Amino acid sequence: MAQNGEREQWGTKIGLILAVAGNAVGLGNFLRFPVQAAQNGGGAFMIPYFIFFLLLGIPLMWIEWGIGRHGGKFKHGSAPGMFDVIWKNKLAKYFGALGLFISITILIYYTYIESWTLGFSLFSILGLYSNETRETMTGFLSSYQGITTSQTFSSILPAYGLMLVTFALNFAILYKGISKGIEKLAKVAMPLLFIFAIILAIRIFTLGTPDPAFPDNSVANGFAFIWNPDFAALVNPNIWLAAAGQIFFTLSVGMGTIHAYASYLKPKDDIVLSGLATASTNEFAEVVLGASIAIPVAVAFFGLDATKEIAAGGSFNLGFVSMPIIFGSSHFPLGELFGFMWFLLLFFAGITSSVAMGQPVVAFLEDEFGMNRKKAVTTLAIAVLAAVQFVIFFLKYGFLDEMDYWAGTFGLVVFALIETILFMWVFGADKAWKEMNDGGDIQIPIFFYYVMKYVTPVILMVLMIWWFIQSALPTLLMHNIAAENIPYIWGARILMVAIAVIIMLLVKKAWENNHSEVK
Amino acid sequence: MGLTTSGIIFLVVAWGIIIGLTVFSFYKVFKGEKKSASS
Repeated sequence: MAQNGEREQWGTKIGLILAVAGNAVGLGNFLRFPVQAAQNGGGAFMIPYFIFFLLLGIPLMWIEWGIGRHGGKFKHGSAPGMFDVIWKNKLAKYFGALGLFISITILIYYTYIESWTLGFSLFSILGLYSNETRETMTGFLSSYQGITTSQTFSSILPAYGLMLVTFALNFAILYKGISKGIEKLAKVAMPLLFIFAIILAIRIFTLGTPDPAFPDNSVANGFAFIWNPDFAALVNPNIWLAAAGQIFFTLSVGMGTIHAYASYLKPKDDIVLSGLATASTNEFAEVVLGASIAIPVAVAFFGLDATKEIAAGGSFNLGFVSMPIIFGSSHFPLGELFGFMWFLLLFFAGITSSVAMGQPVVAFLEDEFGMNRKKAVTTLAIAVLAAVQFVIFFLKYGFLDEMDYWAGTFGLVVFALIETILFMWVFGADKAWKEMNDGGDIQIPIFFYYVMKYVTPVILMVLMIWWFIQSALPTLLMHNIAAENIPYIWGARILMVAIAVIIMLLVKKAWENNHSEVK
Repeated sequence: MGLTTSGIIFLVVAWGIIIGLTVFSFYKVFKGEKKSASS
């Protein structure tokens, strides 16, 4: 229980919406979405994308807001306590522990990646890269990461220093609390993020054909690559699963963060309109802005075939290799400034998400152990800083990728399925429906009652089974892993198991303490 | 290549849905805030 019985509250509704939208808007909105759309049927991808937005994204948003606000009534700001009040069973809190495991594990590596965006924004404005090729820029990135050395970076020290700065910023914001820290950050960072993204999108719209010698390399063709529909792709089930996966990732559901934020609402505060506003803000950042920056400009500078290769190389390749080449090109006037804006907007997208990942653990320590905020944030900081050392120094061996797969991909769908079943079936669909609509500025259309009860859990189950067969099993069995990386992959697994065991023991201890207090 | 007619339709419809939803929800949020501030 909280030490003085009183929990913090959000200062304003708009602050809360921006904070939850900040949690959802991340690097994936600007890097993952355009690649997914371009690779999966172009404009036709939007058909399954919108269907899953309605059947999976919006319902999960409301479910998580509902569980969170309900848990807050019982002074629980994290999933173990929230699950314990919706399911009167000894096991409930341990299912909730998965929410803590996911958020802290993602926080460990995500904040390190976030520090790269801060670093690259500085490198842009300082002009540390210009007229680079794909080879030299790949070398620039890997030398920054300490994997190789280059003329610019001879050691990992700059990356390490920026990691410390980024962590310090995150923990300072968490330390300041809900309204004075997280809400204030959202009110500054989110408008700036949108302003930078709109400026960048307008600049890219007006680029036309940067090099007249290559008339096919144009922004218009970049938009065509994303938006011209390939209807034949719709018969491929992979496209539908890709769209469901994208909706799932983009809204940052299944990690316990929305629950934590919603727990600081008053019992009769609206969650229906807030949830909808949050989801639509995220979609605006993704579909309108995210699709108008990286891929169109990549096609304009590298051409269609090279952009397909870049997209196949993944989001990091697009964000940290291709984009700096473009901003450092002589065909992009004021590239240093636009590069600075691009990486700073990614940094804002990152930090508003990472503070959200820290909040569930802070809330758990405050609510269940009676710690004050200072002690809770310091405990989290020590744990995360100790664990991130492995991510930094074993990066090249796939340590980060292993953590990202189990916590940041597969774990999310498992947690989302558990919470949906618990809320809509164990707690009861009628009670859950009443809980979500209570105090609502608008009412959820009745159509969603059936979607949340029947359709959303089925989609989550199909996703989980599909991902298990397609990627979890090969990842577990270490298919296509270089022999030299295997000990490090095991290291990542041992670290994750250790985190999970510690969380379980803490949950057990908290319940023993609180139970004996009641006696 | 260039944007085809169906590409333009998909772009306009997708943007229209998203912008419409965003404007609707924020209009409601600000209207509610104004109402609660005046009461």
